[in-house]
Amino acid sequence: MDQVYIRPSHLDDALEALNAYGDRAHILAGGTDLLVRMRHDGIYPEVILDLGALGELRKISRDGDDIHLGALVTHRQIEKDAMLAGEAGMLVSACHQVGSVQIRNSGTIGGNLANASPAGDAVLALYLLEAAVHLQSKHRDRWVPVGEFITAPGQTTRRADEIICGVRFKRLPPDAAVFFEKVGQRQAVTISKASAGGIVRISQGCFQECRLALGAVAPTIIRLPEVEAALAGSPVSPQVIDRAAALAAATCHPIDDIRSTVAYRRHLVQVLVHRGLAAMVASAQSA
Amino acid sequence: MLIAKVLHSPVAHARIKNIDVSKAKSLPGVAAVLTYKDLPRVVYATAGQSDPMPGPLDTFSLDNKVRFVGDRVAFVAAETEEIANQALKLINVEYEELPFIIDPRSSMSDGAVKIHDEPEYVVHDLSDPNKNVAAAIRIDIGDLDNGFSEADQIIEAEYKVPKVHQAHIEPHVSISYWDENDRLVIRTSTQVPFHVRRILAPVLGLPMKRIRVIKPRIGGGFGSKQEVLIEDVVAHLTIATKRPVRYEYTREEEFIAARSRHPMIIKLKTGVKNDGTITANEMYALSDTGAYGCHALTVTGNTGHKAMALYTGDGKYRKAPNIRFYADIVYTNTPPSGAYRGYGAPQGFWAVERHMETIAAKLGMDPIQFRLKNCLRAGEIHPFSIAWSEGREPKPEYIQTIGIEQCVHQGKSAIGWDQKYGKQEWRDSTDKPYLKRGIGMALMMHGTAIAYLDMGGASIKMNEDGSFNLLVGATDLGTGSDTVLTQMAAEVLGVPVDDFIVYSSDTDFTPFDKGAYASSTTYISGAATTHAAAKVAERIRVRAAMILNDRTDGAPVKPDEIILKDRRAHASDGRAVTYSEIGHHSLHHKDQEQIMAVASYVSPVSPPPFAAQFAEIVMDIETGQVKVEKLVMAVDAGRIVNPVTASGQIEGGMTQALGYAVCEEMTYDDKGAPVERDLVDYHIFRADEMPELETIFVETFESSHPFGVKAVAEIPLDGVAPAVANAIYNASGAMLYENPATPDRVWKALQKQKIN
Ligand SMILES: Cc1cc2nc3c(=O)[nH]c(=O)nc-3n(C[C@H](O)[C@H](O)[C@H](O)COP(=O)(O)OP(=O)(O)OC[C@H]3O[C@@H](n4cnc5c(N)ncnc54)[C@H](O)[C@@H]3O)c2cc1C
Repeated sequence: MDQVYIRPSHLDDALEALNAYGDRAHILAGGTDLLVRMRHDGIYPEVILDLGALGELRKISRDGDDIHLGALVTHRQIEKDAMLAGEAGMLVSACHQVGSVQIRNSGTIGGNLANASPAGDAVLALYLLEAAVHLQSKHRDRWVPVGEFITAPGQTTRRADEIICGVRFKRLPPDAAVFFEKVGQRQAVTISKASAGGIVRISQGCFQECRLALGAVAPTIIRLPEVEAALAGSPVSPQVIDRAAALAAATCHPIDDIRSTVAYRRHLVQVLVHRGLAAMVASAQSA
Repeated sequence: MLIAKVLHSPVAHARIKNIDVSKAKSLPGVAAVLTYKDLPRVVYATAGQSDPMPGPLDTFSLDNKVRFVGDRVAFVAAETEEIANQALKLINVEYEELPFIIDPRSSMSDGAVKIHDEPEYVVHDLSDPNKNVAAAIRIDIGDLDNGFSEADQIIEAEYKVPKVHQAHIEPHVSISYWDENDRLVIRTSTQVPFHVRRILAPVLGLPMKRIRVIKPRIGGGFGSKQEVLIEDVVAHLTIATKRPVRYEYTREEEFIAARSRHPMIIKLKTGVKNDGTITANEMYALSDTGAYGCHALTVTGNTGHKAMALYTGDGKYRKAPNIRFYADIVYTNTPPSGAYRGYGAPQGFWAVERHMETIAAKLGMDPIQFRLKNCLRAGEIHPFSIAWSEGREPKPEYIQTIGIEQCVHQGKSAIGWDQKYGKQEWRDSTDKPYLKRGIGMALMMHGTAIAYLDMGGASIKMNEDGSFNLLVGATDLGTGSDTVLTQMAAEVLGVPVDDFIVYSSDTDFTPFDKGAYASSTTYISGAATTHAAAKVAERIRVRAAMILNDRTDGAPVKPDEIILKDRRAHASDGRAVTYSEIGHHSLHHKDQEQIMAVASYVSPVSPPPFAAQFAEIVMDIETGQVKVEKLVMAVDAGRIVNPVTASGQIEGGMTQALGYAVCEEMTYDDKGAPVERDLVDYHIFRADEMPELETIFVETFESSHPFGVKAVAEIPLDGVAPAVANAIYNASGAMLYENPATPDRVWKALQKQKIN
């Protein structure tokens, strides 16, 4: 069977092609997931729709407090962007910790979203930012919150004729402290055993707002609503942080797999949440 | 050329009840499909070792039984790779599944299923297929009980090491064809071309003289290619189809159907006096050879022979050490273990060097002082040399050169030991309270070739223009041995290396060499090359004297006065003859002869290289993550012939050893299926992840070799894992008994340490 390869230069043409081919087409962005799967799992898409020439999806843009990342923005672009560090710091650290420089130069935010890995790093930051995913088809145009977009490992609510065009989120207020850390088998180019991120705002000695997310400990990235609720309004104290970390470990449901065990993952959740909160408190208080 | 593929077993242990290849055979483009029914039933061993094979014969090219997930079921040859893969899917196999063994601890239990029940099985020494024992070792040196009775303390512990993979970049690949003289040529990526020819002849039913094995340039082996692993596949298919056939392993096949490093469970029991004198040392190793006994005896023999020889004890124990090394090497239904650079020693040193650290801590002694107090010294006998020699007659070997104290001294100062070890401020000098620094070390010894067994041959022929053909059996697998051997010949003959045309490892053309293993090439093949060069040099001197004396323009010259330098033979009176003149004279002008010599070398000793390995780490005491920041290895490998290739060996070796230390491990699920099947799930270190490496050569002159060399190739695999684990202990107090030091494992060790 011959493979059809299409590389349109305009979004409209890409949407047109996807409308025609539907689920026979497979979208190619940076290829860091797709090519591995093609070689490894022997998947052989009938049509490859390469988005690489869609320059319009490669931009990072701003409108007031809104930040928009085109789907083809790479991890490296995010890591190197001069302003993002102040606007969404944990997104920058998450992207900085993806794979190796080569992977970061090719891998895109759209691919990271579509891939829907529970260990996705950039996506974890998007959960914290409560980003909305922009999906477009020939006939439709819609925005879906990231937490609703991803449903299971490798599963999203993207329809066969839709392209992820980008994501949008609000920049964090200047007093927000942020955090991201992951633990893997080795330092680089590794899949997380567990990862964690957070955003905290403190005023008058109390947690005002707190968002926490975990990766690799559930079928999708998860937020920790119980812990967040318990923290909101609580005074900043070591005991409160201890309790929050313990609650996080108790409420998550990690699994045993080849990369790690339940007991260790649960322990990591406790350590990472504790460490994250402590670090955010320290940075908020020094600011 | 046809492409070969192999159908691998999906089950861990089964008899093939029925196998139907008719559909596969009728697929257009398929040239042959072979099953056990098509091949003569010849039992052999795949380990590339000298005759007689030091292990059981328990393997068939194809059998009616499969013994691990990945074992061979059928061979296919087809016009293209796609067709061959397609044909594999069309083979119908009915398996009668049998109980299987994954955990080596249950191999010898009563009632355990017999993995080798074939009547053709040939036992070797203590092997007993009825008990799933491929090999067993019982070595007693001195009087162990007496040694323990003289001890103030006895320290016991159990250690564990995983199976790991060589991960050479080039996979196994072989091509075979009938040549114009109806001889079977096998071009193969091997470390042992001569063993391939010898071992395959009966398997293929061909006289040895009808087989030619050629080793072209190859891309690494690390022991994995000290195995006759896939040559029989192409050869059987060439014989069946009369056509050239090529077979190349996929990366997945390398993981599921090649050889790897033996996993072991090692028990150590050591008696010490309160002053730190070791009075008795006992090791028991349960070694898992997987489904076949390739290298079973010799790898595990090396575990004791290297790791248990280093510490004889101090005082009277130096002359009369009390050492016991027992081992059982058992079958399981997992992919076979085999040769992997280090060959048993990394397993042994993991246990011994962790144990020494623990004992020093218990005694409250400095771990380095404690080691040096008990370790071998120059002039002493290698304790195992009189006790064991792989089943051959043991003969005494005395240690001549031992630079271990210098290695410690120079290694310590390179890593800044005295400023760091036991210094709280240094340990805490990180930017996070949960990050701690640690420093650790290990001592090791290895061997250089196998005494009285390993032979290498070389021949050198002189041409008219003064160039030389150097033919060596030695196998350069990317190590640069062709270069190093040429350097030695060039040094003796007084010419630059580019005057040599070197050709190696072709069973039709080059002299025999047992191949590239046992850290032997520079030493054994180098000595053979040096001796051949010396013989050629002798003929050159005779010829030069003849020419000069015929000239009558000076006083008569004797050959032994002549010095060979700068492509000339120089008389002491300043007259000289060029090599080109000598070449022409010998081949064309007078008393014509071919100046040529062959020499071979076998050593009565296996002089051990010694080394000190140092490691510096930073670890996260909450998550258990360990980052190795610096490795320093100081090595006494005798004289260094080529500093670039020698330090390359050390750096490459430490890179592989670091994987063993912190992240590499092959695991199997409860059905025996390999979990890691590619380099994504199996982590080897990449260049950009490596810590700073430093190599220090402490040069000694090993008088048993013409250039004073000892081995350098395997010793860097031995010490990194225990040195890193000792650094973890130094940083956190956590005791690791099992490697690699993954975050999970380190965390568990930290938990235990908190309880204690
Ligand atoms: C060695 C290695 C290390 C890695 N390390 C990490 C890591 O540390 N952290 C991490 O999170 N990930 C990691 N990854 C995974 C991967 O790099 C990221 O998920 C990356 O963001 C994927 O982006 P891509 O553009 O390369 O995706 P592609 O491979 O091009 O596509 C991936 C999937 O997304 C779909 N897709 C891509 N773009 C769109 C779009 N615009 N609209 C609709 N569908 C789309 C494709 O059809 C495909 O199914 C690693 C991968 C490798 C090979």
